[in-house]
Amino acid sequence: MLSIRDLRAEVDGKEILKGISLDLAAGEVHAVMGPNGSGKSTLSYVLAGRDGYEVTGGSVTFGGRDLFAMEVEERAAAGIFLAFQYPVEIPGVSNLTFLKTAVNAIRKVRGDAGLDALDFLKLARAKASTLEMSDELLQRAVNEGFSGGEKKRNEIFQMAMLEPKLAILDETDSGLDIDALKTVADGVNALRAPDRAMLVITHYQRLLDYIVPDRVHVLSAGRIVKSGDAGLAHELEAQGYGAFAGETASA
Amino acid sequence: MATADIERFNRAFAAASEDLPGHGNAEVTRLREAAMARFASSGLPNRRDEGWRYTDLRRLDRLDLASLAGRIDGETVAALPDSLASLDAERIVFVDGRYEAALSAHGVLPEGARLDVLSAHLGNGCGDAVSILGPGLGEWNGAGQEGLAALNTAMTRDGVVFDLPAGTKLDKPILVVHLLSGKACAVHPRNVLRIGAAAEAELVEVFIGRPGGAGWTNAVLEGAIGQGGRLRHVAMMRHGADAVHTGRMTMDVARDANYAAQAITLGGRVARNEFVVRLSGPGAECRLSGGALADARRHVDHTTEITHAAPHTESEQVFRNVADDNARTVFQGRVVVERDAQKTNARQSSRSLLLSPGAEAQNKPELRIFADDVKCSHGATVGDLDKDALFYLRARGIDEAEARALLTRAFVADLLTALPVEAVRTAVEEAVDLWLRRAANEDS
Repeated sequence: MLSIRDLRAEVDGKEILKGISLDLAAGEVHAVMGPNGSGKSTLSYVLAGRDGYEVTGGSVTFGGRDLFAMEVEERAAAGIFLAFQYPVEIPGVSNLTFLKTAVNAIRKVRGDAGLDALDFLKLARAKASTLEMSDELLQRAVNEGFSGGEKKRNEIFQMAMLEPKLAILDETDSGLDIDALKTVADGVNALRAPDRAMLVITHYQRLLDYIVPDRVHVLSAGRIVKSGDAGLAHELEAQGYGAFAGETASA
Repeated sequence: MATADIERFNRAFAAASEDLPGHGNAEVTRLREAAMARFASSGLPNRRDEGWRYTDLRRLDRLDLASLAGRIDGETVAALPDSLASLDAERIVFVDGRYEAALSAHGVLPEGARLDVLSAHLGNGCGDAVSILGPGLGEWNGAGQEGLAALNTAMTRDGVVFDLPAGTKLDKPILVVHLLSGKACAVHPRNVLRIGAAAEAELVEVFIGRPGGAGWTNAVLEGAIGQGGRLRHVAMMRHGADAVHTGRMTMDVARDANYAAQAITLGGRVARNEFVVRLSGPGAECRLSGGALADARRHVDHTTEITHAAPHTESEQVFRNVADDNARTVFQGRVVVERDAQKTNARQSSRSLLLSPGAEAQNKPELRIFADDVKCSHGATVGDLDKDALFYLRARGIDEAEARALLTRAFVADLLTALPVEAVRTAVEEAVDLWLRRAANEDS
């Protein structure tokens, strides 16, 4: 589904990703772990297409298409979803208006008819309730005045509504207490499906106790230095990133 | 102003005077001639005037100043949005500055209340003319439009006269519609409102010109709100693309009275709206807000002057301007706190959104504080759309043009939700959405 080959990228002229290769198949969940500054968030932004993250080498294909030939919104319509580490507050745009616009934009690209207000609301309420999101949060402006946990739940809620093929979770666990972490992880696990892949980016192994990955990749200084099964996350937890910094490995 | 230009106005005045309401009444004639003399001495404002640094009226040089014999035509009338046409209101309609009884509908009001048109007053030569056309509120301040107000006094043909006695409340809003055919003529509407003590009313003024129309509207509204009274006032301007609008709204707000006003400008080539408010009694409050969505080479100016003349008075100003293409928006907000106006609270916020590199925004807050125990704040920002928010929306599948439209709409959301009458909110929202779609269509 996602194939990353020797990906290099820089920010402000500084090379952050120094040749990453990774293959993610439908139905799989991979974790990318690494210390601060290793390039985790850069990887997620490059995949989503954020301005200022310049790809200097390598290639990425998504469902066989050249990802870098696609605009940000085309990637989303093709099924890529980035759950932001820092969800953006958008005053003046209600959560529901925002999501309805997004859902119908994506449906349009896929050739489906738009949902009317009532059907959309029914769907939104059903999905929100499993994430313990109140109606009030749905009506409020996007992320405005949301607590850290509410913002992260809102990301997973959006993911549930948009039903992506590839979900990239960028430090979705950061800033969450253990109860919020469980709610969010339950929400993510409910979305695991044979036709959906997930890339879980995290600093800590804690999240991976709840979202158990098929593969774990350790990112250090812009390279994947080790890959393994879920057990690798526990090794990291026990030994720290320092033990892996010198290693080189391919995914 | 050059003598030749003054001559031009004088000739127009002489040509129109026999046809103006109140002609033949010596008192009205004297007031009009005195006003014309005041206009001649100041002339049209120009950019050397402090209050007019950003707004240029030279386009008026090309205007035919003769006043037209207004005629209803279907296309002009059709420019009125359905939401307003069907609004249950006391409705008074003017076409090119002339009252159109056939399009108006105003019925039985509470006892002592009076809602009629200026031409009827002047035509009868009743004594009221002096209080309406005399140097009243409209010419008491220094904001620099005395000339235009004087010209309005001299040339006005019609407007609304509204008196609401103490303790009464209207159960319907008053809707004053100015339909403009867009012909290159000058229209000088004059509205006078007197809201009694503890009385309450809502006033909706709309200026709607035919798309692509020209012409000049020079409107004056003068009002006073008695002790504990309330007035909510909305002015919506949707002029044709080549039209010029100068509007001046003056309000005296007595003890514990409350004035809330909004001006929304969506069309016209050059538009300037001035609010001049005097909080004259303790506990008086006003809230002014407004904004513009301007594209092409439009120029929109909101200028305010709020005078806190008594203690414990409160004012708030919220302005949101959006400029695209080569448009320019101006906000000049002056707050004057007089020496005795202790415990004044004045807040002012002006934000401007620039959607293209050629767009411009000017913000000029001005505080003149002569009291020492006051709270005054102002904030002004100019910026473009939040890039992080744009990326966030696009990352959810919303294309760039639509994402920009969503964020632009959000920028003016404060103005829309605060609009008091639902039909007005609908009309403004429709106009805003139309504007946003235009921008989106151009981009794609």
